[in-house]
Parts: sequence; structure tokens; C-alpha cells
Amino acid sequence: MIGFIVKRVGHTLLVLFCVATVAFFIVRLAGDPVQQMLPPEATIEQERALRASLGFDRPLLDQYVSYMTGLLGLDFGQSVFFHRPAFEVIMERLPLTIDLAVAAMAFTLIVSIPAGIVAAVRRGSATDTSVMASVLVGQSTPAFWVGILLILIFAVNLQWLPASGTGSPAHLVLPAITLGLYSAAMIARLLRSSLIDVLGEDYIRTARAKGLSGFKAVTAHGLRNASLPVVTVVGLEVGSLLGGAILTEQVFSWPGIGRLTVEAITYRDYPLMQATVLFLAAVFVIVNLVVDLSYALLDPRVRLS
Amino acid sequence: MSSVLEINDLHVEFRLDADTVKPVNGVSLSVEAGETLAVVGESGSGKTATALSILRLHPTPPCHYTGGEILAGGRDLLKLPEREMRAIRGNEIAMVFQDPMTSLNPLKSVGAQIAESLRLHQGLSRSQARAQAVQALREVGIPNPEQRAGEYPHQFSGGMRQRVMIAIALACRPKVLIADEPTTALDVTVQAQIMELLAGLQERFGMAIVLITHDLGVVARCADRVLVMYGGRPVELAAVDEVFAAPRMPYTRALLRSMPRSDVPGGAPLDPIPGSPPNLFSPPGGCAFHPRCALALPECSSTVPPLTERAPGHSAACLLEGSL
Ligand SMILES: Nc1ncnc2c1ncn2[C@@H]1O[C@H](COP(=O)(O)OP(=O)(O)O)[C@@H](O)[C@H]1O
Ligand SMILES: [Mg+2]
Repeated sequence: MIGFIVKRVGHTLLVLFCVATVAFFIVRLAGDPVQQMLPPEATIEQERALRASLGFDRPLLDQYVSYMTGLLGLDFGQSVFFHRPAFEVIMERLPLTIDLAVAAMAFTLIVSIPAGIVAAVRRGSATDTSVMASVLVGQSTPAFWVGILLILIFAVNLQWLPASGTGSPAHLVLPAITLGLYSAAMIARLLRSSLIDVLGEDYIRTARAKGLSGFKAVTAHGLRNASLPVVTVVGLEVGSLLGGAILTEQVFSWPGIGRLTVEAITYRDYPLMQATVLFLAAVFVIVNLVVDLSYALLDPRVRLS
Repeated sequence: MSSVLEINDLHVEFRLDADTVKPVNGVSLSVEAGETLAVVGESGSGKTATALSILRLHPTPPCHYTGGEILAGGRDLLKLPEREMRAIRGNEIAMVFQDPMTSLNPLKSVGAQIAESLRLHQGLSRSQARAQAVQALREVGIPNPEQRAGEYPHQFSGGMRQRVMIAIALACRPKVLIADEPTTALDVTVQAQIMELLAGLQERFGMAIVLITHDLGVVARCADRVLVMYGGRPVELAAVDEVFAAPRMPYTRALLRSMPRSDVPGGAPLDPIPGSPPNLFSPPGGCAFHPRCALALPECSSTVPPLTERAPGHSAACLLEGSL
């Protein structure tokens, strides 16, 4: 088990190293930040001076080495646009993104777990059919469209909820639903199919032969087994909720990491782009690591091997 | 002595989308306390379907219990509400399944899986049930039961897992144990140990055993009486010696020649039955065995012979009179 943890942590660090490297080279395809920052009438000398002050005149390899050494000390470089350390800018926006991700995940789980269970247990019934139809809609509707639709209905027409901005729990409702809808649909479907598989297992029949009710057999013997594949996906979804809120944050003017990423690209802010990409990757691999470790908690076959 | 379980003319159907399958067609049997009734027959003859029907474990739909009665403790189990049926499962009538590798929940300790039925039926507290579960493991001959109760199924061998299944089944001291091919999935050396264990526990607790098996050696050693099934029908029922010495149904004789006997060293050469078991979606008319029967008469294709008593305690379903 200890060996397993050490191996997974090492693997995680390797992935982060690769992401940092790829991020460094790929952001430079976004265009030249110096051109963007200067007014059109700037002279060659002014341009050269700005480039030098930002360090972009140095050889690429040179820049790469100092960037990577900086990372070892959690130094993500200076944001060109905000004139502050990129790490600081990210940390400032992070709480808003976490709020949104937590709310969206809460929505996802509250909707998908009961839906998945009911659909599996009442397989083939009208309930199952309507759950699966909702899943299809939920999975095939793009987030920006759902967001705009929700704004039209609940903010513009009914005026129940604010259309954008932050400040109160009410502000969270529409973005959380928009963001969580896809995950909710996916997890409901996955839990349903996983539970249907498990309900056909011999040990469920053993549980019933002991005298357990059908409901008790599902909750006591089915859910934990069915949750093994679901946990992986929930983990990955947490990752994408934290990072993939770009569209939702844009639609609802929610100033989290997603919007920050868009801003960084717009301003060709290399260090900030690198930092946001690396941050999102880190969230993903760390969540993955946690998922792998939680498998061990759920499944004694992993824990004891 | 009176029977602890009696089935009369049981009919079971599976109504599938396009077809109806009738895996159980008029099965009757009975067992007394301390007695072992062996149920034999080729694969697909409805043995498991009958066994699961006794505990009403078939999913309904598609399953329908369309006729007959299952009497235990003075009640017809087919008429009991589900709630009362639950009080019987694992308590008065328990079952051991064929494959111990998949019949235990991999995520729960074996102790917890035994304790579960004790808590359910005997209202024991968590700690009482734990202690009782350790005791149950000891009874089925698992060494070091205190420690092993906390272990998980994957830490047990196949034979040990089947012992755990037996411990679960017998935890509440049922009056009837249904064992559906309890040794088929196990190594040959382990098979004998499991059968010995069952026989020992039966002597101790006095439960009746309905033993579904493929092994005639097991039948010869453990069974008191034998029920032979073919195409969902009972075709011969007799004391074990009678069945081996004087079968009265051609299928029984053919079956005896086609199945292995673990108790005969070297074993007699096997003589497989020609043809294949009946297709339950469209069973042949008359006696279901007639297309494969060497002794078939013209009437066999139109008349279904009922199971009738030919000698005291010996019934057969065949148009031929006398022993073969
Ligand atoms: N759940 C089910 N749905 C449809 N058919 C079934 C089901 N269970 C059993 N059967 C059919 O019933 C017949 C008897 O099966 P079974 O009782 O398992 O035979 P045995 O245990 O004697 O080998 C088989 O032909 C099988 O296809
Ligand atoms: Mg079977």
C-alpha cells in the first residue's frame, strides 16, 4: 500500500513536469504579448525595451530554465497584465471558482444519485425511461446555451434570481446548475448502469436469500460496489468543475479561474497562461491521485494487496 | 415423520418479451427433518429454477408462479406476503449456491456477512452477532475464526468460501437447507471435504437437505432419496439404493451411465445420452424424453405419463411398466 502511494505520487510529479514544459512552449503560440501591449505608433526601440524588461528577449531555453527553476519554489512568474505574481492572482480568484465547483457538485450529486438508483431499481419502467431521456438532454445540451436559457427564464422573465455577478448564495444557483447539469446526467447514467450490473451479481441474490428486502440488498450490498466506477468519474468531474468552468463563468460573468484563463489568453499574458494551465493540470492530477487512494478505502482487494 | 418441506405440482413460468419458458412443470417433492433428498438431472432440467422458487428468489416479472403449492411450517409459501417470506429466507429455509467465488460480497468482511442474517432474524446486537459469527465459522471448520471473521472473501480459497456460505446459511439453524451444486465449482479434493462437512452439520442440527448435484458419488454417499428431473418435470423419485439398483425410467438409467461417480475408483466408462435436452421454448409433445429414448413406444410422443407410484416409495413417470 505504501509502495502504491509512493509510486502514484511520483507519477503525479512526472505528469506535472510534462504539463509545465508543454504549457511553456504552447502559450508562445498565442501571439506576441509585446505587440499587443504597445500602441500601434510605438517605435522599434520602445518595443525592444519593453521586450527586454519582460525578459522575452532572452533565448527560449534560457527562459525555460529560469521558469522551471522558479516553479520549484512555487514561483509562477509575474503576470504581465496585472503586474503581480501570477500565483497571487490565481489565489485571489480561486475561492470563487471553488464556491461554484462545490455548489455545482452538490447539485450534481443531489440530482444524479437518487435518479441513478431509482432508474436502476425500476429498470424498464416509465421512471427509468424519463430519467434516461433527461440524461440524454442533459448530456447533449451545451453549457452556454443552458446558461443563457436559465438566465432568460429565471432572471429576465421570472426575475427570481440574479443573471450575473457574485455576492450572495442566490448568485450561485444558476451558474451551479449550468455547470453541474452535464456531470449530473453523466453520473446518473453511469450509476444506473453500474448498479444494474451489480444487481445481477450472485452476492445480491445471497443477500436476498438471507432475508434482506430488495431495498436493503441494494443499499447494503449494491451501492458500495456500484460506486467504484462512479467514484472515478466523480473525481474527474471535480477536476473539470474546478477548471472547466470557462464557458459558465463567461456567461454569468463569474470572475473565477475560468474567466481568468480567458483574460490571460486575451492579454497574451504568458506567465499567467502558464500558471493557469499548470494550475488546472495540477487540480486534475491531484484529484486523480485522491480517487486512486479512495479506491483503496472502498475496496479491500486494493487495500490489502 | 412429517415433512418440513413439501412441494405439490409446482409450475413456474418466465414470461419473456417474445416467449414463455416453463422451467418447472409440475414438480412435487418432500423432505423430512434430517433427511437428504438429492435432485439430479442434466443442465437445464429446472433444478436451480425449482430451488430458487422455494425461496421465491426469482425476479417477478418475468417469473410467475403459476400453480401448485410449497408447504413449510403449515403455510403455503406461494401465498405469503413478501414481508413474511423474508422472515423465512435464511431463517427457516436457507440456501447455498453453486459458485462461492461470486456469491459473497467482495467488499464486506465474512464475519459481517454472517452477522447480517443473525441480526436480521434473531435481533442480536452488533457485538452479539459478531461473536455468533465467529462461532459459526468455527462450526464449519475454518481455522482461527476470530481473526478470519474480519477478513474479506478474496483472502479465502474456494473451499473456504463455500464453508463461509454454509456458515451463513446455517447461522440461524434453518429447518431446510437447499444446496445447489455446492461442490461443482470446487477442486475434487475439496469437494469431498465440503460434503463431509454438510453431513456432519446435518447430524448435529438435524436439518433437511435438498441437494442438487451432478455427482452420483455424492448421491450414493449422502442422499437418502433421489428425485430425477427432466425438462422441468420430475420423472423418477425413489430411495437411493432403488434408483441405482432398479431404475424405472429409461432417462434415469441413461443418466446414471452418463454421469461421473467420484466414489468408484477409476470410474465406470461414461456413456453420454445421445441427442440434447429439450428446448424449453418449444418442448416436444408427450414425454419430453421420447426423442432420445431407446425404448420409446409410439404413444410416448402423444401421452405425458404422470409420476405414479410403482412400488412403495418408488415413483416413475413412464409408460413402460416394471423395472428396466
Ligand atoms: N431468469 C431466467 N429467465 C429465463 N429463463 C430462465 C431463467 N432461469 C432459468 N431459465 C431457463 O430455465 C431452464 C432451467 O434452468 P435451470 O433451473 O437453471 O436448470 P438446472 O439448474 O437444472 O441446470 C433453462 O432452460 C433456462 O434457460
Ligand atoms: Mg443449476
